[in-house]
Amino acid sequence: MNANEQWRSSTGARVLALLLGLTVLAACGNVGPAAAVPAGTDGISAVNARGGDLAAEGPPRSGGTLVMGTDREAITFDPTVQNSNMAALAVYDSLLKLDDDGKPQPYLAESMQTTDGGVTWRMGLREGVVFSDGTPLDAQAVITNVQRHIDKASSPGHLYAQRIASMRAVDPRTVEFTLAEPFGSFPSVFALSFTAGNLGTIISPAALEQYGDDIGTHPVGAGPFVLSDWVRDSRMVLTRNPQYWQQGMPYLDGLEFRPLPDTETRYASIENGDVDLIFGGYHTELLRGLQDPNLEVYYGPGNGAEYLYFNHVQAPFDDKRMREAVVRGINLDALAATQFRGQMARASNWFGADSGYSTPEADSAWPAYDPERAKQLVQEYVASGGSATVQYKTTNAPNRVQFAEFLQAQMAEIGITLQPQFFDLAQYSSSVVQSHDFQLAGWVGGPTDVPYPGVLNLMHTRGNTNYGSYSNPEVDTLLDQAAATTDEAERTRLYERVGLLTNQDIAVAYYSRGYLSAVAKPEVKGVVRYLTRDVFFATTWLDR
Amino acid sequence: MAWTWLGAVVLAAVFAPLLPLWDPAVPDYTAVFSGITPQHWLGGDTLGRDTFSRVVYGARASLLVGICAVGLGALVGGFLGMLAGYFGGRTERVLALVTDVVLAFPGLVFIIAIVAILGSSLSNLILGLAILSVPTFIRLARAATLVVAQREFVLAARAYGCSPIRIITREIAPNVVLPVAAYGFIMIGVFIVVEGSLSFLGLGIPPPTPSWGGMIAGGRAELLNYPHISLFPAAVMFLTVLSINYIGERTRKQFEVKESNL
Repeated sequence: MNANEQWRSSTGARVLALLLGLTVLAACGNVGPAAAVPAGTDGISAVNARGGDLAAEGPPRSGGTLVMGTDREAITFDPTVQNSNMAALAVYDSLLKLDDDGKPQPYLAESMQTTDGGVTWRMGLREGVVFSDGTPLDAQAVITNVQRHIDKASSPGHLYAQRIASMRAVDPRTVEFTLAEPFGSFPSVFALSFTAGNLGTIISPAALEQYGDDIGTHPVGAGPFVLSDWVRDSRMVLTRNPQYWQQGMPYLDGLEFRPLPDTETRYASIENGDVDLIFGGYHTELLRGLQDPNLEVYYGPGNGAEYLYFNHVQAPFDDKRMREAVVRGINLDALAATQFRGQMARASNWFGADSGYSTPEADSAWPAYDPERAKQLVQEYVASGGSATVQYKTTNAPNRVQFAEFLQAQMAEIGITLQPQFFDLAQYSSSVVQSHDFQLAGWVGGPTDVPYPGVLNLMHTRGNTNYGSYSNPEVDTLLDQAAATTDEAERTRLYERVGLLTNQDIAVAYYSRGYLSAVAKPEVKGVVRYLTRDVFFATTWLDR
Repeated sequence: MAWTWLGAVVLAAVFAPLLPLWDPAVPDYTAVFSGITPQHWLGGDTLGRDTFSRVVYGARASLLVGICAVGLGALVGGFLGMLAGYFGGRTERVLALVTDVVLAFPGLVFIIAIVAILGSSLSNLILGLAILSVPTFIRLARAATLVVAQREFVLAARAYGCSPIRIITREIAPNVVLPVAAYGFIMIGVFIVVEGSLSFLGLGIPPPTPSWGGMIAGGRAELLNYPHISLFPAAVMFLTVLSINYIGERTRKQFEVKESNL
């Protein structure tokens, strides 16, 4: 006991000495906040955005099964139910397909034309195309399928399907759509990604009759592959469709999808060769893929972005000064360094730099990082009687919590007290964003290939993802006109103006593009894809 | 050694604002993910905030939660336990019922409910943890009171005409306080860990106030590449809780000896 006492007192002295020593050291150290950010933090850009260079990859070889890891299990193959299903286009193909410029071109269909400036549309179908059950893909099949989107209000395609006033089969290979009003972007809706709602994914009417509501697990399409086995949360197997309409395709014997929802596990699977390709949902996979010389990355930043929603009908962000302050207060270099490993695809416009709709005017209208100016704006706002205490709502995913802490520190520098609140994803989407119950809310969107319908949904007063209640009558008119016109040049001009006006209004606070990607082994060839990650598997082959 | 470590942690926590440390909430963007440097002794976290400074300030939050929650729980639980033990009968039955109900309620669900209703803050967390600890203290104090209440000096006080309140506070409490305190000391360690788990789940102290659990959670995403971000606060928490448990065990044993001698 006595010896112990002595030992204790001597260690006590030692600790005191240690503390003193540390104090001295600290005093010598450079104590105080440093504003500097390491330079050389710059962006990720497009790489194999819409797939590989098919001509350069040489003559395709037949055979083999492509094994893929997906970031979530598909819910259904029913196109009228919104879900992310990477196998859907393999089963259905699409009537139209977006080309490298994002323009819809006939694919499973043969032609798509308007006769009167966008009200009446005639779709021609290919001769002899049959579904995998032998039923012919004719005009009536298309009408039956589109009608499902019209009838079902919850369908992701309902938004545009409801613009159809009537449909008729002119002959077995021609469908005529009559719309309620001119709709120049109409062809696009037969070519969109499956998740966004694609009217061009057609199911065999015989199968629809046979399976009814079970069609989601018994899909019968005219695509290159046929669903043969699906064990939920384990694997989904597709085999070659011998009756496929494109001669000699598909090259692969089969596809296998494995749901690997954990990001680390998914990436490990492509690294150690368990799978041939993964569908990445996050920045980390994209970046690690880019840095790995043994892997091929497919990514395009496209349109859409990660951004903050402002609530335009509530203090303080009903005041443009505060919206501008937030944008001016975010140091994008620091953001890139802390959240994106110094590799961020920056965004300052809803329209992507290579979309053809972004303009230098819109970019220069976007407020640049300027903490002094931001501070001043906040002070002005507070002086006029406003409060600079803001609630920021976001999900409780670890990277979102990190982002919230970053934003909190940045806002503190310009005089805004940010109070983060975290919610689980389900609660967040229903009781926060969809209920418009927030001042400032985090959002991760994009990349998307085409402006319609994404920008309309976000920026139009009646848009279904305009959670911040942004409203500018001129923007509404421009968006309606852009959807209506059949003149490409006119549409470009209208969207450019939308980009400028929404940037001047600071509708939302963009900072980064989205990071949906695919990471594959180099022997995976002939990839044809959308920026939304959907792949058309007919041309895909394995070089091994 | 345990005393030394604990003393250092407590001292650092108490005098944190006087120490020449970095501001724990202000990021230094040149130190993002940084390792040990002369400026940042334990490196920087995912935002470039100084880990050493955050560990020190985190000690304040962690110790505050542990001590306040246990203090509150011990005070309320101890008093109610003595009432139950001294009066028995109906008081005891009602308290036993309350105790059983609270003990049967899952602790995590209870905390989630508190945070959901009242919002996540330091005081709500302390309140929630204190309520959770009350039943155990009631049982402990009641058991100790039952033994003490039968002793001659209590009988003497009662015969002397002392009021029950006086007997409880003057005669019984001094004898009950020791086992309660010994147990409470161990509970401080438990609650530091609980606070860490709650922060890890995002239910703890809201940012930017650093807490050890929150710091460990913050480094989780980078565990593969930059393990030190989580490792340092985890190590400090481990050592602190170990010290508290060790000291708690020692004191408890000492009291046991004393009581058997009585």
